[in-house]
Amino acid sequence: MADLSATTTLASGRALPLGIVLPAIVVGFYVLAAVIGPILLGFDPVATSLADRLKPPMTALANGSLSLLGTDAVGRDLLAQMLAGARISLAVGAATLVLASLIGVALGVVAGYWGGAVDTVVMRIADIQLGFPSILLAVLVAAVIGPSLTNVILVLAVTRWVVFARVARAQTLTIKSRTFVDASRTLGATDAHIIINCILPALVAPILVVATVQFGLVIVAEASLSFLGLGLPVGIPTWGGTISAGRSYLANAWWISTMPGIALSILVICVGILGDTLRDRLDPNLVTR
Amino acid sequence: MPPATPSERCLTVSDLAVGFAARGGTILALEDISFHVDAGETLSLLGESGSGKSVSAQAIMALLPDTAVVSSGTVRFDGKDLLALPRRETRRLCGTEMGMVFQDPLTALNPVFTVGDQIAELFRVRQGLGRRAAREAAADVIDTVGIPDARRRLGNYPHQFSGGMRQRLVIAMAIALKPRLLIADEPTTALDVTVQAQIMDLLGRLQREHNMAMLLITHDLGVVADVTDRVAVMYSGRIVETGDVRRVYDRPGHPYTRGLLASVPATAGGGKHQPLATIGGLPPNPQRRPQGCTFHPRCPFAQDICRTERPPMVDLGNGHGATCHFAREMVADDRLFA
Repeated sequence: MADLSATTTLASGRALPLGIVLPAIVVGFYVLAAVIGPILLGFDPVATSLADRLKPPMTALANGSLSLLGTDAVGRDLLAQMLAGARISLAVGAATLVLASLIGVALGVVAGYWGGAVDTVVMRIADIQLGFPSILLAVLVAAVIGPSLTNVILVLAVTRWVVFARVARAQTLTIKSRTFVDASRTLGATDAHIIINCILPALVAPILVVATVQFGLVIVAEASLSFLGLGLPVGIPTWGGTISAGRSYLANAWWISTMPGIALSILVICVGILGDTLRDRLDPNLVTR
Repeated sequence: MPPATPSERCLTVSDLAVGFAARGGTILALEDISFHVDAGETLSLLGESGSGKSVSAQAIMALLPDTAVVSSGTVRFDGKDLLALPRRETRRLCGTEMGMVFQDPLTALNPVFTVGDQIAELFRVRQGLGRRAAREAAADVIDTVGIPDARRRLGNYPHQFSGGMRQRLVIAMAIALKPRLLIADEPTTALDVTVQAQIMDLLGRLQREHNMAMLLITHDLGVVADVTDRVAVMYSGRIVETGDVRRVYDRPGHPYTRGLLASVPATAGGGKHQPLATIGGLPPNPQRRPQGCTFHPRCPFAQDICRTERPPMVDLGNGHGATCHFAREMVADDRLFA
């Protein structure tokens, strides 16, 4: 990493490697775009303009404005649509991961720490669910509870908790047999104290890495649900929805699927790098060894 | 070396037996374990790997793994039977009444918190001290264990300390709440020889200052001789000899103890090079301990009775005892100690 270590410094006085700073800036830019973008560039899903159908990027539209990224099949500006979609996709991704990791970590720690019947029940349920295609499960649940923003988050969280639970359980098993946990016990620590002070801090790094990997998958899964008509209602723009909508025009209007696809890829890659470098940094042993 | 005050019994273990669940039944790790430690006194549990020293400590501190079964015995501390107490109650005694020092200081500290936070937290949670007072107390206690520049080092993480310094920190945490019993499980095994002596000196000093009872678990005969009042020698899950350390070292009543003492390389006395004496054979598989005396297959003095009858603890006077049919003869035989 020597060539990457052009560094900036935070208030803490510790130098931050480029591997953290650069992706953090990119992710921050996405969040910023998602928050203020739709305010600057309004998007109305029902405002169609047939004169501007399937215009390529950098075209002047009928109303005189410039369409930076082109327009879709009903003449809606793609950039405005992506900015509005960023808000939904980021929110769905983040909310799903928070929910899934909360459920997964709670169940995984309980299963790993106390073991016994709880462990067997939780982990067998997890195994059964892993043996079942997650998108099929999502389709099943979504079909039952119907499409809405909350339901999509719920459905996706249900399909993702297993990954978090397995990582949390494995890590809990390793940590609870470490000497410093026994040492805490001999100093009178309660189970709650050990979980909060010994187990949970050790979970941060691996869970963070899992979350960054899952982030991309969740956004794509949301797109698949939307594609099947089981995701968000049609009026709500999402990246997945836009990518799906552009599929039928790939031959004559490549930009409809490609632009949100590129945006999604860059975000997923940056989140991945951020997760990896943060893990290395958060582990005090890795820093010195 | 009797303590100045009338001795106060701190910990009494009687008839302790601990087994581990395994395929094909329970494996007994400890059997017939009885010993006691008085305030201000050091008892060493001496034995090789697998002899059951650490399991004894785990049984006392309620650290036994889930697969362990205590099949009989009592551990009396302060009039209470620790084995009968609910675990929650035992935990309450931990830290304030009894503390433990571990073998490997590199893993005995939580790597994600600064040492100041870890030690201060003890005072906050267990003694209800405020943030600032707890930090002061933490600085005092790590000053006590001889870490230079204590106040500044509170902000360091465990990995920023050397092995010896980390063991001092572990000791600091163990004695922070002034326990009356300190269990030290091979406290110097993972350390350099030069640091070992410093750590043992520290433990000895703290013990005198706080009039603590200390249970020292070790396989190092030299460490035992230096700091111990009494010793209990363990072999294959049983105590084979116990008594005042001088008596046991001068006149061992058990052939195993004799073998151990003979295997210490002689560095004094002219440095005449002699082959190292060893005890032939290996300790028995705990699943198939031999009939009679468990040591008989390795014992140079074994007779027929040793192969059939398990020897009782033979009283050799003044608290010295050995589980050998010929313990009296062993002690009396001057030729063997010429």
